[in-house]
Amino acid sequence: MTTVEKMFADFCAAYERGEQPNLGDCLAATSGADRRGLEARIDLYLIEQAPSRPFDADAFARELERPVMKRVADIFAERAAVDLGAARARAGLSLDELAGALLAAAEVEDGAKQREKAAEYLGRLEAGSLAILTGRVRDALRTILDVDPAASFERPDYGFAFRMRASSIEPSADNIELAEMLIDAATTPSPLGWDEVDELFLAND
Amino acid sequence: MPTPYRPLSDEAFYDLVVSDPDRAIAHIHRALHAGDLQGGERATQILAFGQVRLIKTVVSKNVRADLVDEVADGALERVVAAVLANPPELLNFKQFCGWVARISKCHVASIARDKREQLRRDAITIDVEPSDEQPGKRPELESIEAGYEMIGDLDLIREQYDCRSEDHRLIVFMRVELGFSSKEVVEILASEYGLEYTPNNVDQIARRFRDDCREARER
Repeated sequence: MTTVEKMFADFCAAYERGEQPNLGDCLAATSGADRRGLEARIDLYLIEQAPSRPFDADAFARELERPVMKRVADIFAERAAVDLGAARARAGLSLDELAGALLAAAEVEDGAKQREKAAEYLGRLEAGSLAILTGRVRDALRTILDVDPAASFERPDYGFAFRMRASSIEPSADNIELAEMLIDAATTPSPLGWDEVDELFLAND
Repeated sequence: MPTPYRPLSDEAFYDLVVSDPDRAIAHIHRALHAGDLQGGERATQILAFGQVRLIKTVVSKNVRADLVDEVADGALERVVAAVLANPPELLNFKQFCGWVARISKCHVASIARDKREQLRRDAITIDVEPSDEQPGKRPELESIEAGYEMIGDLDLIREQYDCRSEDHRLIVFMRVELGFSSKEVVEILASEYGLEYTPNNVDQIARRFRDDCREARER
């Protein structure tokens, strides 16, 4: 076994024992091609080969004592405060009821067909898969739920860039945003039977 | 038709992250939408808990040992924010780990970049003396720890800066911090402040400042 292979085996063994091996220290003992090779093998191991460990309730209880876990809870609470679905839950409204309130606020006829369509659009907005947020919908939802639906509309920081990683291109933030818009536009089917509800949700205003 | 929300035990949710991370993330979002904030918070913490070791290991490659926890905690917060924001579709646990590792690497890189920027703005390098022919070259911070180490010099640099006269502070600021050439400093001093200095004077003042800083650091 070469030195590099032994280092790799030692690293994996330590990781699988539940230890926290320091990658920097491990790589510091190598240089040049050996270092690059070892780094690539460890990267692959960590992401694709390292066995997952069973849930350890005691370790989780200890982890909860760390301040970072309080911040994790805070991040969740901050998200809950602006999340459209959470705001709807707080208001005690079903999607159908919210659709009715929205149509009324936007002064669009509230028939069964319109309400069903509006509820579907709202579901997509909550799921973050609606390609556009019009000013009329935004204003109406702000009034009804007291929350800005733009938060449910945001794109993840690391979504598109992650999918692009195979090409080794690091797109700029502007390009990511443009690409997301193009993908959204290209993958959003044109609704059949365009009506006032489509106008409300999809027409730029 | 989306699956209705049903709370899961800690262990069941932990296993779900490993077997189907996409569904696990969807579970957190469903908890949000169902108004189960306690359950959603707990699930988010379990998801975070499961990634701590991977994040620390990834971070430890470029970060000094005593800073690993602090930097890894920051990366963990980014992972959680990304999970809650509407992440990409993750087909399996390997993809999820790859995504977490990528966010962690981006976090380390952004800290190193931020430190470089902070140093460019705040720190005055005392080991590099630019000449008019060769504009000031600042040391490249290859790693995050280099940034932290340089910040340690800031106090003594500020101390030396503060004990100078107002005119000399102005010269040090323009020549050393902003990197203007001696000629440019002379022109600005004359046109903006009515002060008469020669390029040699400016260089002497800047050099003396650096020498004093070096001496203070050695003491």
